[in-house]
Amino acid sequence: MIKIENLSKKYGKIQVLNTINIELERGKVYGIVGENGSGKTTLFRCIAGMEKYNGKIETIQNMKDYLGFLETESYFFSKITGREYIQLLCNAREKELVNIEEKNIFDLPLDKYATAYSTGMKKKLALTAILLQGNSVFILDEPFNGVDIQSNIIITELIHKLKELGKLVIISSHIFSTLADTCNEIHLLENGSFVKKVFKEDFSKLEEEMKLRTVTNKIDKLNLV
Amino acid sequence: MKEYFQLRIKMLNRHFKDFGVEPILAYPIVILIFTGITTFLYGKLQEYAIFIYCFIAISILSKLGEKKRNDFLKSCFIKRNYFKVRLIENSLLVFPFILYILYQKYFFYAVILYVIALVLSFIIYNATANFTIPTPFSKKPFEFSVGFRNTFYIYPFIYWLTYKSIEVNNFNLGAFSLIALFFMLLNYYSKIEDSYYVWIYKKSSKDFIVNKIKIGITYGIILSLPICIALSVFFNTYILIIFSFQLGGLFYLAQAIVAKYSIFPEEVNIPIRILIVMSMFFPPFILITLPYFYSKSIEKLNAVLND
Repeated sequence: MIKIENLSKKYGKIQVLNTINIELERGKVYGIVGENGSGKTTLFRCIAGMEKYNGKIETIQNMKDYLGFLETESYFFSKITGREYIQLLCNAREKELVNIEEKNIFDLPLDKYATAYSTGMKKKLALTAILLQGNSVFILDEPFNGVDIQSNIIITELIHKLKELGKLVIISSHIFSTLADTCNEIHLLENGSFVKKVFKEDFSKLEEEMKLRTVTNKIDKLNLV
Repeated sequence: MKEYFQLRIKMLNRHFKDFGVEPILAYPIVILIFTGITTFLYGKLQEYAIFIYCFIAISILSKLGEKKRNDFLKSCFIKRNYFKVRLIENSLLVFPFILYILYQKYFFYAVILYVIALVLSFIIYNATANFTIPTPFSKKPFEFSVGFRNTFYIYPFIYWLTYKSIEVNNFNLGAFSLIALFFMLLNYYSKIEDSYYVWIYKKSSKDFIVNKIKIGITYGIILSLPICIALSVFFNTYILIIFSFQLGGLFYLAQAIVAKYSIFPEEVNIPIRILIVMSMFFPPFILITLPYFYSKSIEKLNAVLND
């Protein structure tokens, strides 16, 4: 469904993405992991067509019109309610919004200003809105950030449901267990390049490897006594 | 405290620079514009200009009472200095308005305005309060729903000016209320939104911009119609002027929309503002600027909407 060939992206002289190659299929969930600044968000923005890039991204025609993009930190207007935010996103996709109360699965206070929401509530609002748009491709950049444990469970189940419905889901998360629960495959991004592709049976190995590589050595440097 | 005000001046100068004007030029320009508008308004509206000035001054002062800003000031200063800062800020801001009112010899209003400014130094309000201001525009967010909530208190004043113009048989005052309404609506399109809010649209660039114009004009008509009808009934000899003001207002509203996207995702810059102002001073000029901004906005939107 999405075929990325030799995707590269530079900001000035800084190479953020370097010859990325990947094929993403419908009905699967892909996890992208990597440290802060490894290029995850830039990759997502390139797939969404929000950034210019070098290389090739082959998709279905007008994929952007069927793509739900949950940004790491969604921007909210200062005096827009949760309900109006969802209405705005549905209007944009010419999707009629019906029975919103029933679809408010995270019990959000829809008539309050979105800017007054907590971090987790903002995440849930943005996620609800892209789900109600009826998209077929989802990019979820850190969907579990700041979200409470109950909603965490709901989001995990939602991702399973999307997979079941034949949607394509791409997720990034710093919480490895959430990816292990939901993904078909995980790709490790380092300094703008994919360095590893891991299937479900090897997720635990990857987690151990990442722990060893990124945590142990760094904590030792502190010489804690 | 001295450092705080020095910092405020630095910040103001940075705003001028970001706007593209050197501070050394900006201050005389601001004074000139203020004096020019003041003289023009007083010439047209006489004593009603005083009410308008009082209203504008109070609106600006009330912004300084926002809770988050005041919490920050309280965390920076001891209690006594915090109140001093608030009193000085309010006095400085209200000073040009009072000077003008005194110049027009309305001493009573000058005293009242100053007292209000002092009282407002002690008032704090929470902009992100639990109370949500209802808006009739929530079905088509976001410009009018957000704009209405930001300016809801100005609407009664504008409609009151229309009523007053009929009561005292002063057409200029009524025309001013219509112009003021459209100026406020133009302001709803002054801020550039995050590009995500354009990217989400399943529309071509042309459809996107036409849709925005349609919404703007529909809501613009709804809000301005009561004024137009009232003025047409009570000043029917001026009906052509009223109609041209209404039509002009809608044209300028459409222009504000296309001008905003003509440089998207950048903020509207000085050359664009100059073109807009020129089209206001010389209305036929809009026949050139409107299509120009439209074609530029299509160009810019194509990049975001992948059209």
